[in-house]
Amino acid sequence: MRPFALHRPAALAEAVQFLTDRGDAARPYAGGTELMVVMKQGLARYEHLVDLKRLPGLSDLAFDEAARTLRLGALVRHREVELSPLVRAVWPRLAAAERDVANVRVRNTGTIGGNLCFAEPHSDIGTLFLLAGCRVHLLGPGGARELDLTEFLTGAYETALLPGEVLTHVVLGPLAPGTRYGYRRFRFHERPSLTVGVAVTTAGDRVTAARVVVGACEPVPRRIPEAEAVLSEADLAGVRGTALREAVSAAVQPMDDAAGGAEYKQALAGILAERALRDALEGGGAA
Amino acid sequence: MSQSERPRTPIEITVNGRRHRLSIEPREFLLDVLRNRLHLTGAKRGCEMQICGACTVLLGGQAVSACSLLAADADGGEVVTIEGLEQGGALHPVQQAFVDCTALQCGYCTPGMIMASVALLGENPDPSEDEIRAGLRGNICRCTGYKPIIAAVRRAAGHAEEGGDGHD
Amino acid sequence: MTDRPFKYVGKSLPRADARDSVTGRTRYTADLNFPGVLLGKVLRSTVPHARIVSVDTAAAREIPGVVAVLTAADLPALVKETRFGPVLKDMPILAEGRVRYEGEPVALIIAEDDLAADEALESIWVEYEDLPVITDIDAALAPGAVVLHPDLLGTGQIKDVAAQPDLGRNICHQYHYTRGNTEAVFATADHVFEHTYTTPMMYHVTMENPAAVAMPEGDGLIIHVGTQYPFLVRQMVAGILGWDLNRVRIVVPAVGGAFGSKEYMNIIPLAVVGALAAAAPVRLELSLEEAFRSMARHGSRVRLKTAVSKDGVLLARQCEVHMETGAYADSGPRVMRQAAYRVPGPYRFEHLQVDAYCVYTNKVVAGAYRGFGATQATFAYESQMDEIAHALGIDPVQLRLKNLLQQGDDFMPGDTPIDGDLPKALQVAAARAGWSERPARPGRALGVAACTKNTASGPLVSQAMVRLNNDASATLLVGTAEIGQGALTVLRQICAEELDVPPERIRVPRPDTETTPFDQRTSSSRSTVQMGLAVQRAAQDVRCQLLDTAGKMLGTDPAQLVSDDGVITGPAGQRLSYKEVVASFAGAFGSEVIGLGSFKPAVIKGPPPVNGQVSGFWEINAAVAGVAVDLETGEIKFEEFITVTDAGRCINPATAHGQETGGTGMGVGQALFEACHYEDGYFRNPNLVEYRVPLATDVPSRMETIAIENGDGPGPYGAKGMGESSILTVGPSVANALFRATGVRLRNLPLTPESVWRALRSHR
Repeated sequence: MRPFALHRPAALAEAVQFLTDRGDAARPYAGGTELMVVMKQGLARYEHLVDLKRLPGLSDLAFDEAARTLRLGALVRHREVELSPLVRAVWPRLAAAERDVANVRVRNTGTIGGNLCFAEPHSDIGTLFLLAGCRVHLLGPGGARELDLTEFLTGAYETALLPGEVLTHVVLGPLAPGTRYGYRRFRFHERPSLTVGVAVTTAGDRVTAARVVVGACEPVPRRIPEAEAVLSEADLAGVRGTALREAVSAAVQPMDDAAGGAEYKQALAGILAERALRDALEGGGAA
Repeated sequence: MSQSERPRTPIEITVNGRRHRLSIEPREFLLDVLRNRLHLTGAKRGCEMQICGACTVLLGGQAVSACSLLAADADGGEVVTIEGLEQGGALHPVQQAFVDCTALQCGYCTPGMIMASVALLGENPDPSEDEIRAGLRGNICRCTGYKPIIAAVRRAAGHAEEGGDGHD
Repeated sequence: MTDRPFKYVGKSLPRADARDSVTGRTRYTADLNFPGVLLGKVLRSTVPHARIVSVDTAAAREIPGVVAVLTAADLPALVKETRFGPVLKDMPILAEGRVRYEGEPVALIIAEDDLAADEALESIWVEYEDLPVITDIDAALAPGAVVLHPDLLGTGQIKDVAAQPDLGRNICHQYHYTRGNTEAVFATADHVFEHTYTTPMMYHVTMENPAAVAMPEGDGLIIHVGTQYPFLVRQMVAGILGWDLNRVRIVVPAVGGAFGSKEYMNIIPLAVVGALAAAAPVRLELSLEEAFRSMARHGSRVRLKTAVSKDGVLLARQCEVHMETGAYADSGPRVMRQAAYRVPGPYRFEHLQVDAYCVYTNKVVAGAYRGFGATQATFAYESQMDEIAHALGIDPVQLRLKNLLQQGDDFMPGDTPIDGDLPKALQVAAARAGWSERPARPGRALGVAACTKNTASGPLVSQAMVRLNNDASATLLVGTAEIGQGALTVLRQICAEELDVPPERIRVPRPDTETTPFDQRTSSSRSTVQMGLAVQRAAQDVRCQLLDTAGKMLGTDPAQLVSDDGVITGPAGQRLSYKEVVASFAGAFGSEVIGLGSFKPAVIKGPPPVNGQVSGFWEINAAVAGVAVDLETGEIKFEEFITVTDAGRCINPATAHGQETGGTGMGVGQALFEACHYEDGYFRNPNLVEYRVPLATDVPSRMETIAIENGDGPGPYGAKGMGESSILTVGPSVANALFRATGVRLRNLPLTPESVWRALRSHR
C-alpha cells in the first residue's frame, strides 16, 4: 500500500477543515473495513487519512423516549449495535440482524458511518435503517445538514457527501411501539446479494402503516411503495403474503451480476419479502 | 519516495504482555508490525480482505483481522497473538483441545482459528455447536472439513467427551 | 514385529507438528527471514490472449531500489531453457512474444522493497495486440480456431505419459481405448442412455498462497519452497539451468495446504531467474488473487452413452471426455489420462470405448487437484447411474450392487485388480444412513454414490533413512512433504513401531533434497503406503544391525534376541540398552546406526492402456448424502454425509479420518459453490468475495467417516492410502439427493441456488 499520512485532529471542526483544504487527497478514516481493501489493491489512493475514531461525540448510542428515535454515532461499530442492551430492547430486530453481518472481526472494527459512506450496495444496514426511517446528519464546511438516507445514498459507491463533509450520526425511527419487523438476507457469496425488510404497524386488527425495503440487488436500498400498498390499510387477518411477494417481484429491478441473475433475484426478493412478513407477524419484532 | 521521506508515526503497543515502543509508517498494518518488526509470525497472511481469518489476533480481547487493521489503530492497545496463549509452558485449553482433537492439518489456519475460538469462548463459555459454527464462519479451513475444529472448541468448553481418541 | 500387539500403529497419537502449529511456531516459506533478501514482483498480462508488440522497462529500471527488471529477452543469458513443463515444455518462464491468459507473467521486478517494486510495476509499458480468445472447449475445437501452440514442443521430465498432441485443434494430449463393440450393443440393447455432465474450473484455495525464496550459494542455488514435489522441482530447475542435480537444493518448509496446486509451481522458475539476475536472495510471495491466477483444477465435459438391460445390467459404455487445461499443459495430460482411465466407473463393462482430450484455452493453467481427474469423472458416471436407476425403476443402491466390481476383479486387464470391497462399502454406507427406511420426500432426500480411483500408478520410488543416535533417539529422513495430511506423523509411528523407540524420541525433519533420500513425490495418496514401506524397511535395517551387534556383544545368535522398549534381552536374560549397543557399534566417542529402506515397485509395462501405469492400489469410497432443498429459493442445505472408505489399516485413525472429513469439506465446495467465472477470457472472481469456499456453517452437521480396516492393503501393516476418496463422492451424491428430493436433475456443477431454482421452475 502506498504511503500516506495519518492525522488525528482534536476536534471535528478541525477534521472538516483539514478535509476541505486537502480535497481529494484526503479521506476520513473510521473502521477502514472497506477503505483498506481498495487502498491495498491500489484502486484508491489518498495522501492523507483523517482518523475520526478518537474524536469525541461520534460514538454515542442513545434512544430518545419521546421521539422514539435511536441515535447512532458514525463511529458506532456493528458489534456494538449487535450487543447493545439498548438496541436489543428498543429494536431487537436490528441487533439480531447485525449478528449475521459479515464476520465477527468485521463487526468488531467496522462502523456504521463508514459503511454508509462507502455505499457498497451489497450491504445490510442500508436496508435495515431505511426500514425504520433514517436521517443522516452531516457536518461540513458549510455547517451541519441532515438528509434522508434515500437522499444520502445516490448510487452504488456514491453518496451526497460534499467535499469536506463528515457523517456525524444517524437517527433511526420513530420506532413505533406497535411496529413489527421482519428482515431477510440472501447471501451466496461473502456479501448479501439481496436484503429485504418488512415493517408492519398495527392498531388493533388493522395495519395502519407498512414499510417494505429491498436492498443489495439494486444500486441503493429503496422502499417499494407498490408492496407497501398491498399491506397498508389491510385487515391483519387479510394480509396476503402472496400478494406482497408478487408486488415486490414486479417492482424490483435487480442488477444482473456475479451475485445472481436479475430474474432470479426478482423472484427471490418476493420470496424473502413474504418470509420477512411472516417473521414480522409471528416474531412480533423480536428474533 | 525514499524511506526517510515517508510519514512515520510513533506507537506503543503491548503484545503478549510485552510493551513495545515503535516508530512505524502509518501504512503498516498490525500484521506487518507483528511479522516484520516483532518477528511474531504466528498470525498468517491470507486473503487480505478479512474473509479467511488466518491473521486473527485479539485486540483488547476482541478478534480482529491483523491484515486490515492499521497498526496505528492498535496504539495504546493490548494485542494477544497465538504466541501469547501458552502460559509457563502449559498450553491454553483451546490449544490443548486442538492437539487432542487433531483439529489441524496443514496448520496455516490454526493460529487464527484458535484465536477466534478463544475470543468466542471468552464471550460465550459454553457455545452450542451451531453457535460455534456461526462464530467461526469468518475463519476458513480447507483441510479438516471443520468437524474436528468444532469438536475441539466443544472440548475446550469442557465437553471432554468430544474428539480426543474417538476414532480408536 | 507382527507377533506382538501394536504399540504405536493404530493409535490416534497427536500429530508430530501439533504443538508447533497450535503455538504459532510452525514455519511456512513466508515466515522465513533471510538477511539481504530482495522482493520479487510479477507484472502480469492484463489480457487473455495477445501478441506482445513491445515491453518498455526503461523507466522501471531507473527507479531507486529496483535491482533488476526481467522480461523474456533477458532470460537466455541466465538459463539454458526458457520454457518448462512436466509433460510438454510449453510454458515460458516469462511470456515470449505472446500472452495466453490473463495473469500470465510478462516481467519480473526485483526490488529492495514493496514500494519500489510497485512503482516499477506501474512504470512498465506493455503494448498488446489482441488475438482471438479461446473461451472454452468448444471454441478451442471449432474449425478455424486460432491455434494457441503452433510449435511442436519439447517433452518434459515426467515420462509416464507420452503426449499425443493435435496442436492444430488445440489438443495437447488424447487418449483412446476400445474393448468389445459398443455400437453393436447399442443397436440391440433394451435401453441406451446418453447424457453430458460438466464441471467448471476451480482453484484449490490453499490457505497459504504460493511463496518461494531462491538464493545463490556457491556454485549452486538453494530454494525454499512449500512444494509437494521437492525432487521433481529440483529436476525441473536443474533442467532449466542445465546444471547437475546436486547444484540445486530444494528445502521444503511447512506447506499451508496443497491439494495438487503445489507441484511445479510457476513461481519457482521466476524466483530462480530473479536470484540469478540479482545475485542475491529473492523472495516471491503471491497474493491470493495472483494465486487464483496461477493454478486451477480442470473444467470438464464428459459425455456418457450407456447400454443397459431392462433388469439393470450395464452392457456397454462410450465415454467422451474433454478436460480444459487452460493456456499451458502442466500436468493436464496426466490428469486427463487418469480421468479417461477412470471414467467407466467401478462397474463391469464388456464393451467400452473411451475417447478423451486435453484442450488448451486462454485461461489459467490447470493441473493436479485432489482426485487427479477423478472428481470430474465420478460426477459424470455416478450421476448417470442414478439416471439409469430412475428410468428403470430400480433402487440406486441395488442398481450399483448389481454392477459393481468385486474385490479381485480386473478394472483393466493388466492392471492391479480391485483390492477393496466396494459392495460392502456401499452396503455399510446405506445401512448407516438408514437408506431403506428413509424414502425421499419433497424437498428432502438422501443420495448415494460409489467410486474407485486407481492410485499411486507407475514406477514410483521412495527411499528413507533412519539414523539411530547413541542416546537411542532417532532421526527419520524422508522426502515426503507434510502438506497437512499427517504424513510425518504416520511415518514416525511406523518408524517407532519398527524401531521400538517412542515416537516422541524420533524427529522427522521436513524435506531437503541435499540431505533427505529420494522420493518421487507427495501425491496420489501414496505416502503412507509407499514411503511407509521404505520407512518400515529402513527401521528394520537399523534393528537388524542392532541385533547383530548385540548378538556379538552377548555371544549369541541374533535370532535369539528380543527387544522391547529399547532394551534387547538375550536368552539367558542378559539385557542391553539400545544406547549400549549403538555405543559399541562404532566406538565410544559417539556414533549412529544408519538404516536404509526403499520402495521400488516392479516395472510392469502391461498392455495398453495400462502402459506402465500399473496401480499401486485402489482407493474406494461409497457415500450417502442427505440434503434439504428450499423449493422456493433453490438453496440446498447439505445436512449429512456418511462416507465409507477402505483404509486397509489406519496407522493413525485421527489423521486418517481427517482425510475423510477434509475431503468431504472440499467436496462441499465443489458440489455447491466453487467455480472460476470467466467472461471472454477474463477471470471475474479471483477473490474470496465472489469465489465462495465452504465455511463452518456450510458443512454437514452430521458427518460420519467410516474406515474399513481389513489389514489387507499393500502398505505397512496392511495400510492403504486414503487422501482422495471422500471428495469424489460428494458432488454426485448431492446431485442425486437433489434429484430425489425435487425431481430435478442437474448435470453441471456447482449446484448453486440459482441453477436449482431455474431447474425447478422449468420442471414445474
